[in-house]
Amino acid sequence: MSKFWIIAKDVYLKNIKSISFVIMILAPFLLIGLVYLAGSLASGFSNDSKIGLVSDNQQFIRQLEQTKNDAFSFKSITSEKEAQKQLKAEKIDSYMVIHSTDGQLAAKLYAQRSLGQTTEMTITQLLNQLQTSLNAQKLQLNSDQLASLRQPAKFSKTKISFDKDGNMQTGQDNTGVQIALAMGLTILLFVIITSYSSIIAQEIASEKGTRIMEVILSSTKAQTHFYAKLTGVLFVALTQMVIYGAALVIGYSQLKNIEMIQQLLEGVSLSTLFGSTMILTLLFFVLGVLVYSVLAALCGSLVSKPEDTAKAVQPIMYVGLIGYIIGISIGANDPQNIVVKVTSFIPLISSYIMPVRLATETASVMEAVISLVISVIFGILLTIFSAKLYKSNVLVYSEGGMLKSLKQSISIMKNEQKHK
Amino acid sequence: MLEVKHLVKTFGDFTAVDDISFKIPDGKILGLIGQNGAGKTTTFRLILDFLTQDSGSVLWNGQPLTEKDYNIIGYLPEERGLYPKISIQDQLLYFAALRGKSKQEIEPKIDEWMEKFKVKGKKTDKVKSLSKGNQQKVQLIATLIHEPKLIILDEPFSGLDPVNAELLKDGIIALKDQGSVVIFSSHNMDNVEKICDHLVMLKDGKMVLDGPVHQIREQFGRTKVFLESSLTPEAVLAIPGVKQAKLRSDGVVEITLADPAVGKEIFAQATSFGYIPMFNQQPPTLEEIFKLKAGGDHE
Repeated sequence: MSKFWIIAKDVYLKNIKSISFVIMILAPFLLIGLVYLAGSLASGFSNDSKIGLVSDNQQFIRQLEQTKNDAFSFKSITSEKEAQKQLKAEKIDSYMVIHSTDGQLAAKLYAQRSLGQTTEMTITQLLNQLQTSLNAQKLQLNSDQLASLRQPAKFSKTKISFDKDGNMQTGQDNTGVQIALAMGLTILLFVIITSYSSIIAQEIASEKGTRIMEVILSSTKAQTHFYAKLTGVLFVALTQMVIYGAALVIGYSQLKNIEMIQQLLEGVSLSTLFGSTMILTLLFFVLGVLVYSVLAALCGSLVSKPEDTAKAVQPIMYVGLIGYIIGISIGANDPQNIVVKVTSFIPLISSYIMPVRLATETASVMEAVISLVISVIFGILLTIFSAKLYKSNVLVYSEGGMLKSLKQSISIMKNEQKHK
Repeated sequence: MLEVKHLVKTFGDFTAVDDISFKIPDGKILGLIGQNGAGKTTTFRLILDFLTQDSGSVLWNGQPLTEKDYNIIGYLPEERGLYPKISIQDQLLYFAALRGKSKQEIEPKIDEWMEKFKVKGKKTDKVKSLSKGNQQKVQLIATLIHEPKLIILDEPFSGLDPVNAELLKDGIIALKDQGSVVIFSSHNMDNVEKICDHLVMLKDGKMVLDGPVHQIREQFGRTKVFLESSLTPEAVLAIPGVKQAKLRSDGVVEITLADPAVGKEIFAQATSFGYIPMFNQQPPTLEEIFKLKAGGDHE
C-alpha cells in the first residue's frame, strides 16, 4: 500500500469510528423526528379559538355558525356588552360585530391577540361569501345563477421553448420540482460544507499542533500528505452520502403511501431527474464540496493549535453563508436580479446560486457550463497553491493570526522556490 | 555515510546556517551543540529537505537525499508530539507504515522495544494516559523501531531523568553498532562527551568547533588541575601562572592554569611533603569550552 493510501485510510478509519461521526449521521433523523413530534404535540394541544358573533341580523350568525374548522369556532352572543364581559372572563378569545347597511356587509373584529394570518384570511373569505349571497339575494338570483357567479377563473401555465427552426414547442413545466430539488441540494451542500470544513481543518491543525507533522514530513512528501488527508475526509463524506442514500431507499418504501410524498412524486418525471439541469446541479454540488474542502485544509494548516480550528474555518463559513443566503432567498424569489446573475459565476458561491438559477430556468446550460469551468479552474489553482504552501505552512508556528501566518508561509515558499 | 557540504541558508537578511560542512561515516555518532538559535534545528531541516538550502549540498552515500530515502530515516523533532487518543501499538504501527514497514514486521518488535525502554503501560493504552516521560519514550520507539540507517534526534535527552537518559544512550549506541549514522543535538555536554565520536558546535550559524571530542578538548590544553594534598589554595595561587585556585567542599583544590606547563611546578610543590592522594591535570570540560565559545562575544 502506498503512503498516500496509508494516510487516507488512517484518516478515514479514525473519523468513521469517532462518536461525532455517528452523531452527525443521526442528527438529521433526530431532527426530523423532533420536528414531527413537536408538530403532532402542537396540534394536539392547541385549542381552537372561540370567536363571539354579535349582529342585528341573526341570518349571518346562523350561516357563519355552520362553518366547521379546526382553528376556530363561532359562538353567538346577544350584545356587544355581553361579548366584552365574556372576553374579559376569557370565555371567548375575540368577538366580531357584523352590520349590514344597504346590502353592504361591515364586520369588525375585536381581539386582544392576533388570531394568526390564516384565521383572519379564512374569516375574510367567509365574509366575502356572505356578501356574495347577500348581493345575490338583492338581485333575486336563483342558485344556478349564484353558482355561476361564484365560479373562479381557470389559470394554468404552459412552458414553451423554441426549437432551432424557430417553431414554438410546448412542454411540461418542471420548475416547481426543480426548485424543490435545487433548494434541497443547496441546504445539503451548506450542511456538508459546515460539518466537513471543521473536520478537515481539525485533522490538519491537530497534527500541526502536536508537531507530528514534522515526523510525517520526514516520511513522505508534504503534497502526498495533503492530498491523502483530503481524500480520507472526502471518503468519509461519501460514506455519509451512501448511508443517507440507503436510508432514502429504505424510507421510500415506507413513505410512498403518504399523500404529500405522492403528490410530490407525481410531478417528477424521469426526464426531470436525469435532465441536464439535474446533472449540472449535481456537478455544482460535488465541485462545491471539493473546493470548500481544499479551502478548509488550507485554513487548517494556517493555525498553530487545534483549539484555533474554529477561528480557521470562520472565513469559509462566511463565504458559504453569503452563497447560501443569496441562493435561497434572493435567488429563489427574484432569479433575474443582477446580484444573483453576477454571483452565479463567482467560484465558491456559484455552487449555491447557479443551481437555483438553473432550476428557475433563468440561466442557460451554456451559462452554467461557463460558471462550472470557472469553478473547476479556480479549484485546480487553489489546490495546487494550497498543496505548495502546505510544506511551508506546517513549519510556521505563528501566534499572530491567520493572515500573518499566510504572509509568512508565502514568503518561505517564495524563498524556497528561488533556490529550487 | 552522511556528508554535509558548505550548507548556507538565509531567511531574508538573516543567515541561519553559514557554511556548515561535516561527514558522518556509518556506525558513527555526531553531536551538534550550540545555544538556542545557533542553527541546529535549521541544519536538521535542511538535511531532511524540509527547507531548501541557498547553496551547498546534503549527500547520503554520495547521492542527494531524496524521497526514496525517507524509509531509512528516523527523526525525533525537538517539540514532541503523538496522537493523544490512539493506543501505543496503533501509533507505532502507523508511523512504521509510513516508513514502509508492514504490520507483520513491526508488531512482534513492539514488546521488545517497550521492554528495552521500560515503558510503563500496556501497548493498548492510549498515549494520553501515559506520563510525560513515558510518552517521550514511546516517541523514541516510534523514531527507532523501523531500524533507520540515518537517525536525527533533536534534543533527545531533554526531559529525561538520568536513568532514562542512560536507556536512551544504550539505545543509540546499539543502533550505532548496527552501522547506523546518528546525529543529535543536546544541551547536556555530559551526554555528548560520553557517546559522541565527533562534535560540531554552531554559533550564529557558523561552525566554531569541529572534531573528535577528546581532540577538541586537547586543543585547549591541560589547563585544569584537580589536587588533593596539603597545599592550601593560597599557596597554589602564589605560584606564577596560576589563574585561579578554589577549595571544593570535598577537599579537592580546583586550579585553572594560564599555561599547562605550570602543572609540573604544582606537582613538585605538592609532592615535596611525600604522598598525595590526587593530582589530575585535564583539558577543560566540554561544558567549560561550550561556555567559553558561546560567550565569546561578551568577553
